[in-house]
Amino acid sequence: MLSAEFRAQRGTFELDFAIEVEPSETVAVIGRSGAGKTTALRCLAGLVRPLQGTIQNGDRIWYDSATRTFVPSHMRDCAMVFARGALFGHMTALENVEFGLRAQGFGAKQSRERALEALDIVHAGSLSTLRAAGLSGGEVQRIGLARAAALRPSVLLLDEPLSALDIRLRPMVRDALRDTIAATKAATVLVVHDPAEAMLFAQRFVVVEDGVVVQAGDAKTLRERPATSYIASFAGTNLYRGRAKKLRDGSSRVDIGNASLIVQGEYTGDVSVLLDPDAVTLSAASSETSARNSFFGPVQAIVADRGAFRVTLASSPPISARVTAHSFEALGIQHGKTLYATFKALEVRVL
Amino acid sequence: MTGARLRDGTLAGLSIVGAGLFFALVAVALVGLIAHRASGGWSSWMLDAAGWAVVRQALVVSLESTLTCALIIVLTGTPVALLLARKFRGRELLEAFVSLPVVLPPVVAGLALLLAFGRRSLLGQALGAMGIHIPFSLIAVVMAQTLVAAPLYIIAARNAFEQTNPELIDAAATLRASFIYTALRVIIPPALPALGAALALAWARALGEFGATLMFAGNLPGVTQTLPIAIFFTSQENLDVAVTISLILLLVSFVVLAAARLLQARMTVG
Repeated sequence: MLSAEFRAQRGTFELDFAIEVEPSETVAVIGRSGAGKTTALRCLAGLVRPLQGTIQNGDRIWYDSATRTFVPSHMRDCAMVFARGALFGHMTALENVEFGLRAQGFGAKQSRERALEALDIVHAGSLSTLRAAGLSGGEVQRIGLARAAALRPSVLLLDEPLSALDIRLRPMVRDALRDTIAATKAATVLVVHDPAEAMLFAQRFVVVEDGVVVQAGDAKTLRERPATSYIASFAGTNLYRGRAKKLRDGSSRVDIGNASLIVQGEYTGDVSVLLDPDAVTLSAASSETSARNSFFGPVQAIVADRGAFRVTLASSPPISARVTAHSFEALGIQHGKTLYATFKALEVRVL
Repeated sequence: MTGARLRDGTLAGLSIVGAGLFFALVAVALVGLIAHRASGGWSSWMLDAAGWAVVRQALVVSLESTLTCALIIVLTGTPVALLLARKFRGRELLEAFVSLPVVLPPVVAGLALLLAFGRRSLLGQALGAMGIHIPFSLIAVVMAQTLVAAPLYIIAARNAFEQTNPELIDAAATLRASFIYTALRVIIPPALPALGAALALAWARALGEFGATLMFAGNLPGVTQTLPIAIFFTSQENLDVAVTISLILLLVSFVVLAAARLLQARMTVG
C-alpha cells in the first residue's frame, strides 16, 4: 500500500497533502489548475523533496523527514506518465518503452520482450519502429503509458494523461489508460482537473483546493456529504456506462441495463455518459415536451447543494436533479414521492 | 512615421558602412598575406629544405598538441558542461570561474601556469622530485592550449545541454535512470552536432594559441614550437616561412569554422 502524508513548497505555494492507495486501486487527485495536484504527484515520484512528512510504499520508506530519508526518483518502484508524454524524441517508440528496462540493467532481449508486451497493452505494436518525435498526440500518450507499464511498477503515477489531447483523440487514449491501469495492477494515483474523468477511473478521490486536501473518500461520500461547493459541483453528476448504437437522425441510443437514453451525435460501442443534475427537470406527471429522455421513480435521497436541493430518484438507472428551493416546495418533494425526470439529448455529454 | 523611417534609413546606412569597413579589414589582411606570395611568382611558393623542416616540425607539434588537447577537452569539459547545465547553488560563480580564461590575456594564463608548475613552485618541486618537469615540454603546450580553449567548448556544450526539456530529465529519473545514464542517452545524443561545432571552435582556438604557450612552454623547435610560435620567430629572418604557415593556419581555420557552422545549421534543422 502507498501511504503518504507530507507538506511541500513550490516558491511561495504551500501544499499539505495526504493519500493512501491500496494495490490495484485507483485514487484520483482532483482539483482546479494550480491547486497543487501535480506538486503532490511529483513528491510521490521523488522529483520534488517535501519539507516534512512521510512517504511509504509497502514496507519501503521513500521519504521520512524525521530520519532524513529520501529515496531518489530512480530508486523508487514507481512509474510516471506525463501530461505531454515526455517521450525521448530522438528514440523510436520501442526504444522509449525499453528505456526504463535498459536503465535498470535488463539485457537487450528481455527488455525487447517486455517492451513489446507493454506496447500490446496499449495496442501500439505497429508504432514500435517510428521515431517518437514524429508521433501524434494520442500516439505519444499511448507510448507513454506503455513505457510506464513496461516497468511493472507497484505504484503508477498519472499526471493529467488526457488533458493535453484533442477531444477527438481522448476515447482511444482513455481505453489505453484503462487497459494500462488494469494490466499493471499497481497502486494508481491519477491526477486530473476534469472530475468527470476521475469518476471514470477511480474508486476513491482526494480533492485538493488551494494546497489543502478538503475531502477524501469514495463517490458516495462526495455525493452525499460534499465538503465544499466545488466538490458538490461535480460529485452529483449523473454518470452512466452503456453501449451506444447510431440512429438514423444523427443521434445515438445508449442502452444502460434495461433502460436507454438518447444522445446527440453518432456513437457506437462502449461509452460513458455524463449528465449535469442542473440539466434535469423534475415533474409530478409525465408530459409531452421536446426533451427526448425521461426516467421515473420514487425520491430516494435529498441533499442540500449550494443553495438548492439535489434530489435523487430510485429510477432505473437512478438519476439526480438539482432544483431550486422554490420548485422543491411547489412540487411538494418528499421521500418516496414518484417523480418524472426529463432531459434533452443535447445535455448529455458522451466520453 | 517619417522620423521612424529616417531613423531606420540612418541605421541601415550606418550598418552598411560598418559592415563594409569590417569586411574591408578582413579582406585587406587576407590579401596582404596572399599577395606577398603571389608577388614572388609561383617559384616563391617553394621553400628551401630548411624552411620546410621548420614548417613540418611545427605542424607535427601543433597537431600532436591540439589533438591531445581536444581529447582532454571532450573528456573533462563534457562532465563540467553537464554539471553547469543543472541548477544548483553557486552555479553562476562556478561558471564565471570556468570562463575566466576566455577574458584573461593568454600571456597571464601562461605566466600563472609557469608560476604554478615552475621549478621554484611547491608543485614544480614535488613533480621535479619524481622526475617530471612540465614547463617547456609538449605537456606544457597541451596544458596551455587546454586552459585557453576548454572554456569555449564548455560554455557552448552547456548551452546545448540546457536545450534539453527538463521534463525529459524527470521522465528518465522516473524510469530508473541514474544521472549518468540520463546524460548518455537523453541529454548528449540530441546535442552531438552542437558538441561537434563547439569542439571544432575550441580546437581552432588551441591551434592558434600563442601567448600562454610561449610563456609556459617556450620556443623549442620540434618540441614546443607550434605553428603560431614558428610564425613569430621566423617572421624576422625568413618571412616566406612565416607566410606559408600563416596560409596553412588560415585555410585550416576557415575549414573548421565552415564545418562548425554547417553542424550548427544541421542542428537547428534537425
